[in-house]
Amino acid sequence: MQKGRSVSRRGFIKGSLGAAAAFTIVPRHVLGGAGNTPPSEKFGAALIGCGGRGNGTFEGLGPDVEKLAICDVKFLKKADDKTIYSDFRRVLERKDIDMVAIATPPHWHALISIAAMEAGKDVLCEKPMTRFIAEGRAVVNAEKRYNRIFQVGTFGRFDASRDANRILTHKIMASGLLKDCKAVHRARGGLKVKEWSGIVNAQPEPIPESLDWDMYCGPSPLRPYHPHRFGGTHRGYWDYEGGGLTDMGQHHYDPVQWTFAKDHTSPVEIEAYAPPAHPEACGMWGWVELKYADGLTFTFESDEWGEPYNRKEDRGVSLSDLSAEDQQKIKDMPDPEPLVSFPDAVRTRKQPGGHAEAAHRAVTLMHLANTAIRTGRKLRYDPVKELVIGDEEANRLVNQPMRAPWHL
Amino acid sequence: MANVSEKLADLVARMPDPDDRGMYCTDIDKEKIESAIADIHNGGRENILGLIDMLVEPGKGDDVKAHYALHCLGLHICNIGDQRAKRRYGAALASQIGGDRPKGVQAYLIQELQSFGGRGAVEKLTALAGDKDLAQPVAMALEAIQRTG
Repeated sequence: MQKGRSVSRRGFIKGSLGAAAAFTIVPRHVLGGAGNTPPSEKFGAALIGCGGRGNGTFEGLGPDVEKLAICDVKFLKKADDKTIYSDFRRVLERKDIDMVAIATPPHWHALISIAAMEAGKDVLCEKPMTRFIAEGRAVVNAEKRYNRIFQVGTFGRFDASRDANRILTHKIMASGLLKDCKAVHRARGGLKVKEWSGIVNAQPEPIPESLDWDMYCGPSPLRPYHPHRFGGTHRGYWDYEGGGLTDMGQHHYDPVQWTFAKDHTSPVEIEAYAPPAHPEACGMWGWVELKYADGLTFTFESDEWGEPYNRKEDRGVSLSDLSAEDQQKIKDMPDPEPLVSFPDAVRTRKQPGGHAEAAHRAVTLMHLANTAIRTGRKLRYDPVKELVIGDEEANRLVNQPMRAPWHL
Repeated sequence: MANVSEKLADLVARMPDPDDRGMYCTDIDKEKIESAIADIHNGGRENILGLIDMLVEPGKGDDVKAHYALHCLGLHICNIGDQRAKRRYGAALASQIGGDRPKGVQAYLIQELQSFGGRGAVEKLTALAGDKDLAQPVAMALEAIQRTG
């Protein structure tokens, strides 16, 4: 075992899979000099989804990885199934791949994450974690079932977890001592609503020869090809994402969710102010208000359409919200453990800071917001059953059918 | 557009125009849209069929407003909580699949049934399970109805 490392690559594989059989490491190249990680201590990794966020996501795997494969549906003509792939399933069959970075559009995130974990890989997945709520629960279950490390690539919560004021808020909220929470957190603007809307009058175009369009669509409906549905602008379509709200929302609210200690629950009331939603293209909306059972309120405010939100003002929580006795309990509480980064989680097998349940609950905020926008009515949500109460059409958005042969 | 009344055409014309990017991002008047949709709803089945008559195969013309209006009508019916109207809406959509309408139009109607259809649409959907162009949307609509309907 190399000095300073908790687990050698060999030990990591044996420990995590519970295998007792001997395992031989063949160095991939001559050992590096001082300061270099020997090849036998590097993890084999693959990048699935090589668009604009691909390289950035891959870097999140950490320094001790070797990129053995890249995969993208646009590599149809150049795939060699050795280092370049167009089908992620071939990548996951490789025994020398220990982890994957997933930077596809969101409609593929859940399925590839689950398949990767089932194949014994650890996963770093781009945000938003999922396209709809039921996908997230399936990923959480897979993380537990296969005992893998899973993290979504939003890192704001790590900064939040080191900030004294936010640590105090976290402790107050986590303690359960605050019975009637009057806190309000408003997210105003920066959600790229117009920028990431969809085209409503797109005319079909020929599919590029290098693109496996059927595979790109994957679990989503097979639509006539249009370039706006691909390559970044996919964000504007319910088939692949949820507009700027979903794409940017998780950046904003993931650290806020940590701060308010809501990593294991969801709001119970959601109300949106928006025009009737288009069936395929994400479009304009004004605001969404989400309330938790304890009274905590979050808002999304586009600042790009309609009358502005004016119901509540921002308000935090403080020790003065508690009795003197309870204030002392908070002061006596230890600070939360530091959040574990993905590379450290892989080596130590500790739960990473942005683990599946936390990321699922964070993106659920966006999915609930979009469900309220798409149905045009106030929703009541059961955060335990993860269903909208008494609303059949809304629940068809909570758990959406997938195109065969794909399924959760 | 056959079988489309002048009044319906006027109501559909009140739907937004796509902006210069082809998106619904400019001059989106919620009250104007909802008022027109409520009037469309008041026209009953005749207006539902009239909207469907205005739909075209993707790439074969401009049905942006009718396409949007039909979906908004489904949303409106759910929001007013009129179960009878919802069944009538689903029945009208289901009555127009499996016939001579273009496959792209039928696929859209099946997508709307995935959103708003009930068990009354199951028989018509099931009959199309073997259609190579419609089998996938049919399967998704049936799954949605079975899960929640």
